[in-house]
Amino acid sequence: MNVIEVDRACAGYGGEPVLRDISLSLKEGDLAGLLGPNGSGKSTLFRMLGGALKPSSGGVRVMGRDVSSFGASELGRIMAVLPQFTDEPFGFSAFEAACMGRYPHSGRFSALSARDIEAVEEAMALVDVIHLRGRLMNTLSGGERRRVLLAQALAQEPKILLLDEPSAHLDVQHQVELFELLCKVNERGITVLAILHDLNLAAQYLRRILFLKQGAIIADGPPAEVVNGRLIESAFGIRLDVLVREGTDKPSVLYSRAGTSGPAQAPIRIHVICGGGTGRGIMGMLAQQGHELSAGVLNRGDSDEVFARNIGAAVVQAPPFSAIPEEAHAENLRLLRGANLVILCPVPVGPGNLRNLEAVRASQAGGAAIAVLEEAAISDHAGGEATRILREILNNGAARFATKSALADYVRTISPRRECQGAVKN
Amino acid sequence: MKKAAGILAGLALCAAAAALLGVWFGSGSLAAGDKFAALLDPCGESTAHSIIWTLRMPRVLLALLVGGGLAASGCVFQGMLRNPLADPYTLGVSGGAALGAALAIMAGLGRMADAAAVPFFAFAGALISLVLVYAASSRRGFTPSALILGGMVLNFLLSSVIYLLFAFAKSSEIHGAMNWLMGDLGSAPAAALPAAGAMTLAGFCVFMWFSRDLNTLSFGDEKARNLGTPPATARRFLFLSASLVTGACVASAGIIGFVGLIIPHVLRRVAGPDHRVLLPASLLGGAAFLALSDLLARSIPNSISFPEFPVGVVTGIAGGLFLLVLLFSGRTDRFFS
Repeated sequence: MNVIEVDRACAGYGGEPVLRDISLSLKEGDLAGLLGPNGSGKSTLFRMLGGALKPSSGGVRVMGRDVSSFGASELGRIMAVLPQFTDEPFGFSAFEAACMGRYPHSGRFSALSARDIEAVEEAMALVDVIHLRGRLMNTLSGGERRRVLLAQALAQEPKILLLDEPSAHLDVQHQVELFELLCKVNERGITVLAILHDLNLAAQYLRRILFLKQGAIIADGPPAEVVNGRLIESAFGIRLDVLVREGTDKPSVLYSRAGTSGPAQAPIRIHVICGGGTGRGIMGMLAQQGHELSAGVLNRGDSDEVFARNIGAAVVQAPPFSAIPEEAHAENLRLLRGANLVILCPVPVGPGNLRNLEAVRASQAGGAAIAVLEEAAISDHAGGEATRILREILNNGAARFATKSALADYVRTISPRRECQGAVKN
Repeated sequence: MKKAAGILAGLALCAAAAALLGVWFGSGSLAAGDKFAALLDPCGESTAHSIIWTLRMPRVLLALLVGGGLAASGCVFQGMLRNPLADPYTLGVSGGAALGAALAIMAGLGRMADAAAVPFFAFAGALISLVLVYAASSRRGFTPSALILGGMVLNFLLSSVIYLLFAFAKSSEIHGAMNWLMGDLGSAPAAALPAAGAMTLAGFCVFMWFSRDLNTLSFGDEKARNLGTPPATARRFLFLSASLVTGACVASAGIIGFVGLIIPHVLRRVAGPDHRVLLPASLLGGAAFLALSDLLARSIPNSISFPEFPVGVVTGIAGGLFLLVLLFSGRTDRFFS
């Protein structure tokens, strides 16, 4: 069931609309992050979802009902909002502030019931602010105040939680705890949508990430599919390296100051022949060094294929469980010709992907530099043909590497002009 | 809740005690026994009776009313503008009222015969400034900054106009106007009490209706909305009602300063920041404070400049000293934030 549905909505503050024809839906139980550059319309989208800003066209539905049809308190029982900016309330203690989360549930003049106090205390315990209960809001640090406000929102016992930069002002410990908390809250059935700036935390913890740019959603999906170098560059206009740690499908972003820890070397074109997860390790390392990667031919859905796309590599695809078709082979050869280096990973070779090995041999004949990784692990399921071609490649001067890090170190020494540049024909 | 009820009961006792002191003491020497007898019998016909019931009682009631109205509306303004320095005069009501009163006094309407003209003109002036600030702020969604800016501009403008009027006025008229400007509980006509009383009561009901919204508004409009408060609507009603209450108080007693600023602050320390308690507490506390201040003002010997010592001077000095002591004591936790 969709708890929030936005249907081709435009909204803004007079003049140019900030949100342009935006459509999205949040399913019950979603744990989603909204990312995007400053001024891309994230907070505006939140205001529209919270009913504070009316769309100039299109519609916003919450629990299937138009958001403007809700009574003031009614919406507060379904959806709790933690705004990016709140005023510093004077005189209220943390407990009194958290208690206001019960307002949508109670009458104007009614005192808190035992049930209300229970909900408030549970929320405060969840966010770890019980010990602050007697402190005045204006004596709390920015992070503490933020957490009290989160407790206030949780005390509303909402079905949907909208958080605008909940991790702002939080130290590392509390950032991590916040995300753990969001997961915990989400497990209780609360749909969470949070505006965030930390790509790494978002990719680690959230199940869905939406990228907003200039008032439009440019990507929407699980972190493994949407967080990649290409997307970051198109959203933020900067190049960052995205790695996927081995054994996970969670991308992480590496920040490095250009010129210090980044690649001193100019990026080179590298084509990787891999499959079945044999190439992701080395591709991750090389992507981190900033090289331009391509891979193929890979079956769609193969773990190397997914990984390569995630890090923004060009991938030549073939349909799943089938031999390499002619067009894919030709495309692969084209990419191989343009590469400064070709890496052959320890991939099992059968009749279906024998053409990849043939393509490597052909590119070597054309003058390409070949690096073979863990050649002993390359298994032959093609009746000796694979072994024969591999031996040929090795005899023709391919470099051998026993470990990925040795290969990565070797790549560091290559410049785009050296090695095979002369052999590139086009 | 029990604590809140206790505080409110205590403040109500204070107000009652202040009222009793107000009618008990005054110029003219009455025997304690006569006063006691007169108090017990509202329908008596003795001298003590007429002094207490027709001279002192209306004045004390007016002091209670004006003090309570100013403190409660000051509390509303502080809450809705999210500004601890706001008072009932921040939004321009006093400027219009003062100009109206000054015009009436300088037109020679301030004499005893048609004393009702001064409150009437003052209230009309208050209404005009209210409409101006309302119009100036409504296009900006009644945001606190729009309201404050509109009110301050109007106050400056109108007070300058008053000084311009002074340039053309006779000194006796200036004296009369100055007296009014500093607060004067003694010259309101009899009709002012029920009129201002009804308006203050009605306004206070609106305050209480929105009391919880004042709590949520302190977190900013976005969170307030999420907690069930439509921010612009709440501020619109609060602005209108608090301005009318202030206008009624100012029209009947002139511009009495400091009550609306300091009483809510002091009581925020005692009763806590929840406006559902703080508003009635301010009403009672302001009433008690002004009744006592008036008693003090009446006991200061008359001078030539002032036929009666202006109560606004007493509240200013008493309130200012009290605030200074609090500031120096360093105990400003719930006080200024």
